[in-house]
Amino acid sequence: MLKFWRNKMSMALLCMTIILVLAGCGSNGGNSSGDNAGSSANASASANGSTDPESISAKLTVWGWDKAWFEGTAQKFNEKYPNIKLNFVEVSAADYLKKIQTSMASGSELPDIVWAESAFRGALYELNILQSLTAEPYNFDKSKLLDFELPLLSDSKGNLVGLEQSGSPGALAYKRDLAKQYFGTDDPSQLAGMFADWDSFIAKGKEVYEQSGGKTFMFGSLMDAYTVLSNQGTVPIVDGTSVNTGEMLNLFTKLQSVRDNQNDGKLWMWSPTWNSSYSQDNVIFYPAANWSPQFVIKPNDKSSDGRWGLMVPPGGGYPYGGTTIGIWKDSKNKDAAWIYLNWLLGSDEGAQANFEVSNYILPLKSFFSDTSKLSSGEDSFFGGQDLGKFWVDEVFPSIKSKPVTKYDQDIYSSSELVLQVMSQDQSFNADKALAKWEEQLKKNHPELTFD
Amino acid sequence: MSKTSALKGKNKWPYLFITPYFLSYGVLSLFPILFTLYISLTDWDLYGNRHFIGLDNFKQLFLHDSFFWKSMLNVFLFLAGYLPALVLFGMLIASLIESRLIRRKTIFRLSFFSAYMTTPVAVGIIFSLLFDWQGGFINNLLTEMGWIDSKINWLGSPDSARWIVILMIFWKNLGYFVMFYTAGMAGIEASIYEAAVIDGASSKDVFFRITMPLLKPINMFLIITSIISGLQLVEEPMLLFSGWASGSSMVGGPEGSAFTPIWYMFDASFNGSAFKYGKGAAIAYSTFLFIALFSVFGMKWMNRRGEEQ
Repeated sequence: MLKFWRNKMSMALLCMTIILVLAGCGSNGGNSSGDNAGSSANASASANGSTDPESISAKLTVWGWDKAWFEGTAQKFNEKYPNIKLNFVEVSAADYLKKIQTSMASGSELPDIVWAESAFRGALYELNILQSLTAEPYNFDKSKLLDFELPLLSDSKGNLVGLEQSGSPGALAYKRDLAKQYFGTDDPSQLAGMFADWDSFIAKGKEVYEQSGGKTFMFGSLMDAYTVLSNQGTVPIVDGTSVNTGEMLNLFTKLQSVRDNQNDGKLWMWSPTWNSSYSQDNVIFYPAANWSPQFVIKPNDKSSDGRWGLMVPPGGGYPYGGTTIGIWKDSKNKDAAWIYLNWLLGSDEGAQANFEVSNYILPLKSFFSDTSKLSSGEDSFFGGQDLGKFWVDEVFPSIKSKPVTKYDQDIYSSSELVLQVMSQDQSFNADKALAKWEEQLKKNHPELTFD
Repeated sequence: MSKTSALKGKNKWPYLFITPYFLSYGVLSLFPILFTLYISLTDWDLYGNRHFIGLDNFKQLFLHDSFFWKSMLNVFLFLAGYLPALVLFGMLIASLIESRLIRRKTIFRLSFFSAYMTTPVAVGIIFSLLFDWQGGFINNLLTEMGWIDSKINWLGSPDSARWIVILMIFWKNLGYFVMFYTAGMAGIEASIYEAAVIDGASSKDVFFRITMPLLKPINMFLIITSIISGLQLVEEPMLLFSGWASGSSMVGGPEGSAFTPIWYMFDASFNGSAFKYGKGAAIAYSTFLFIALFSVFGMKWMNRRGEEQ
């Protein structure tokens, strides 16, 4: 009898072990991106906003990284749509594309709302996971957006696949004390007039280097200059699978000139030494977007006040950063997701909420009709400059852009590798840089052809 | 007794109790291994391609891909640089620790071993900070001492970048080698040493003729596992050249001098925007073949030396 029960117990233990092992390996099926399947998507009739907002109920899953902004805007959204619940899953921008990839490869569900940072949005568009917003039934009117945004938000087929979280205008941040010392003025308009083109900027940089005894540079690194110059370009580097090597050679030639005239401080962009240069006297200019004061400049130069200024760079403003937010095309809650997205990033109401929560400026033409409301007041850290007005009045109007491509991230990292060599090796010229850049890009993209 | 009747009898219990292991092995190891082989024979990427292409990925890698061969060359250069040094210095330090010269042996063992406990990510970042061009500790020290006029871009030139990777792996693994050698030396019977000393053997003779031959099994284990882990090297060089911005990376270091096969696999499949799973799987399988080949070669070589002796 005892033997019988011992056998039974052993068998039960064995079965439990096998079940646990298999359960650990099992797929969690349709529930991987939150509670999509369990949510009630009662939002089908509301794409045009005619339904009572309170009657619409759904639960949306959002993967993203900017939690403070999400929560602030979600609160305002829920004041109008209290029954559309938003489930935020924090995923860092660095890991985002990998998480999307692994979910796709394993056949798991994606979130209803997908974010795509500027670095990888071109690649994400081509994965064919985002809903076209200009297609039925959403019919978003593209003309509502500022013109430079359309290439940034469209895939290679021309579909508008998302809306911009915040227009990210790029300019130059500079140290006022060094500007006064080397250029005789720290006024942003006078400086913009002084540096009407890159040649005069680079020539002045050589003087700065000589006057400072080789201690002060215009830029921290060649990548700083690359960030501005490459984003100012309007011709796509890759069109289909054809690479415009002429455009790239022009860029490398300009960067060679930056190096040859001692304009770069030979730091590594985003490295600790580059960060610490913000509070030192070795670098004057940095690429800066509207997110830079909060996330880069002030944290790196905490103790200063009135030392910084923002100016329009030679060649005008440029798109610097930005995040596309779109809808997963196979989401079960697409209509509710559209209500959220359209309110958040496609309406004046959402634009106002964005500005109130995080000072984010949506690139909607209607929102720009009265720019007086976008003033952020005098900022003593920036010598009394009104940053809101600066971005809206001086930078946004001059921004141009080029289409994003799935190769953008690899173009950036190949350029970074090449510019590291260029910054240290005087014999490494633009032609050599282009040859090395081509080699790097071909590594994982043999389909590319180089003109 | 037939096989089925063996399973019905008393013998069934061992079979049943090892079943969970084999099930988990089948699901978690064997299936991925076979599935990766299948993937390596396809052109699968996330852009909609998933066709069976036979051995094309392997042909491309072996016959046309200079990056693959460069990554292989790099790991062998690294191994050639740090493995002999680890064996030599590991034994010397271990024999010093085990000698009468050292009293508090545990402190020394622990201090060497602590580097091995450091996570590879931290090791990569520590070395990138040490050898940074403009603000690195090494350059600042050398400049302050007046030994160099202009700062050296250690991580910017292929030769110095390779030496830094070798130094990094050497520093990290030295404690691991020392630990094994001290354990091995402690296991050698004291009477053997005493007999040798009575017979008039010098310290040098004792080390080369007793300690080293008796540590052969440990050496074999350390060398084979080092070859395996050396070919799989990825985190340390990747973090050394990872760049600081999210998503950016100096893939492979200057002129690909720190590129490793596994980094290449990661780069082709997950990093950047290629998403070439077929190519990545082929790199993984090719690396596995090299690991198997060189492990067998290493074992044969060491055993032959033993037979000759």
